[in-house]
Amino acid sequence: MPQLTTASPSLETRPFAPTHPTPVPLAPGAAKVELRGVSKIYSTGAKRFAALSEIDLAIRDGEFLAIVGPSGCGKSTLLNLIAGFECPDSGEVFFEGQAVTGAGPERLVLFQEHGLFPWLNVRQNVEFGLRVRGLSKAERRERAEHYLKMVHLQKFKRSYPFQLSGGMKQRTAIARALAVEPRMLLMDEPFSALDPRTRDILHLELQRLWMATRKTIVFVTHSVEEAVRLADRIVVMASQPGRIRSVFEVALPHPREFMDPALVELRGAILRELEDELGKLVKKEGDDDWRIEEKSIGARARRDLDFGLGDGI
Amino acid sequence: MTFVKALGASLLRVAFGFGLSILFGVAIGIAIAGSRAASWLLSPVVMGVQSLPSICWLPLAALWFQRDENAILFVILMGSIGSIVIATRDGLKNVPTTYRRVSSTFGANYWQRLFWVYIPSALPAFISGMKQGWSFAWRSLLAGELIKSVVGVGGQIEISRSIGDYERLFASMILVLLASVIVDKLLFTQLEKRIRARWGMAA
Repeated sequence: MPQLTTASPSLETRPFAPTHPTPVPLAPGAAKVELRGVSKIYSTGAKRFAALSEIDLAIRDGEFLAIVGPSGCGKSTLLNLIAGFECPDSGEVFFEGQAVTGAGPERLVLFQEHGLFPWLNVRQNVEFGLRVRGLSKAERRERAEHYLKMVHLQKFKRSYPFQLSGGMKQRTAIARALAVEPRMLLMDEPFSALDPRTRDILHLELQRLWMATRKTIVFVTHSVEEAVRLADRIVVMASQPGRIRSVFEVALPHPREFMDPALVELRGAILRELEDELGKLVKKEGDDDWRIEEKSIGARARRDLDFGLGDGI
Repeated sequence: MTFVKALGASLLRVAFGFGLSILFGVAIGIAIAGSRAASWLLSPVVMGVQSLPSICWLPLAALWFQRDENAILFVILMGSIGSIVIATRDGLKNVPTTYRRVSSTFGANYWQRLFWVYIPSALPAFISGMKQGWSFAWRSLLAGELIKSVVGVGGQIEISRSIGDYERLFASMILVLLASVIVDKLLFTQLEKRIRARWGMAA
């Protein structure tokens, strides 16, 4: 059974209780990415909507961080701010100590809609970033082939995107991203459009690639399942206004065993955190008399069922 | 034999005029798509040109240009440039946000983005507009040739009319039709097919 560690020894009944319900203290100089007091407000006409409010976050070098939350909690906005596609209305975003002013290949983004160029074949797509960098044709080819091998798509290097499945397209996008050797990867729900079995495969692949390259990865998802499978640290966000609700440390080894009961427990803990978000969503998106019963989702773990977890877990 | 010579002359003329139209039209289209100031300045002009039947330019062109050749070229240019500008502008404006973000996250500069991403992305829409522009160019050519006596299919039609040779008149008209359809099928439709096949779009 995998070794479970908790950050706080007093939480024996809830092993994955949030360790930082308050803003994460920023370790000076040690963080890869820092957000300080970041807010982002969208206004449509007279209405002002706070997508993000007073976000403080530090992302460590080499960690796999997941950002989870319901729709509208600002998680994609947060990613866009780190990526440099948008600017914060207040607060600052730092990358390796420098303020973020725009997008760039050191903080490479992977999108839900893979974004492969349909007029280029697989190898040419992977070569794109290298072409931008000005590498010679031979160098580009060599690198592209290397990274295509890493994602097991060598056989399809001459195919065009429309001939590939969704999973293959995302793997191509991953190869394209890794080819420029970015210092950080920002993934915006990259697997959300794929079927569950393909996602399983890609979860294993991503873990394998991360273990081999140890890149800092920020992974945005609305799937708690995905977050617990992949991440070392999980930021749970709340909506209205968008803010960090809590942060979970996940001290389980990679590659994660998908059926691990510890993951189920962790998922339950996070879903409990997100319970009142359901109420808000229902209120926003339905008639006034629609209510979700309390504790109907993310219910308390059934203590009477013995999965052989032992005591104190 | 005069038919062949006439057809050749007409095709050369329309190719040149249409070529100019693409050259200027794409440049103007890129400017309008990229800059709000350019759009404010140039859009009304282009819209105006587009709505004026190209033959209306002939009297003016005859005044400006010494040679009838150049006057007709001008008419072809004015007739087809609107379609090219609009096709270019729309193609560029409709580049999906994802492609824009992909190109900027890889650190591409303006020219790299324009030539390696935006223009290829705009190509299918551009081809459609180009087909439309071509039919306007062909019409402008014939309008010009009917009025000005130059060597060409329009000229053939006019000569046939004036000498009363109606067989020749019909033959010339059919020739015009065939020429236009053949160019369209051989050139534009093939181009469109190849692009759509590569993109995986429905044929």
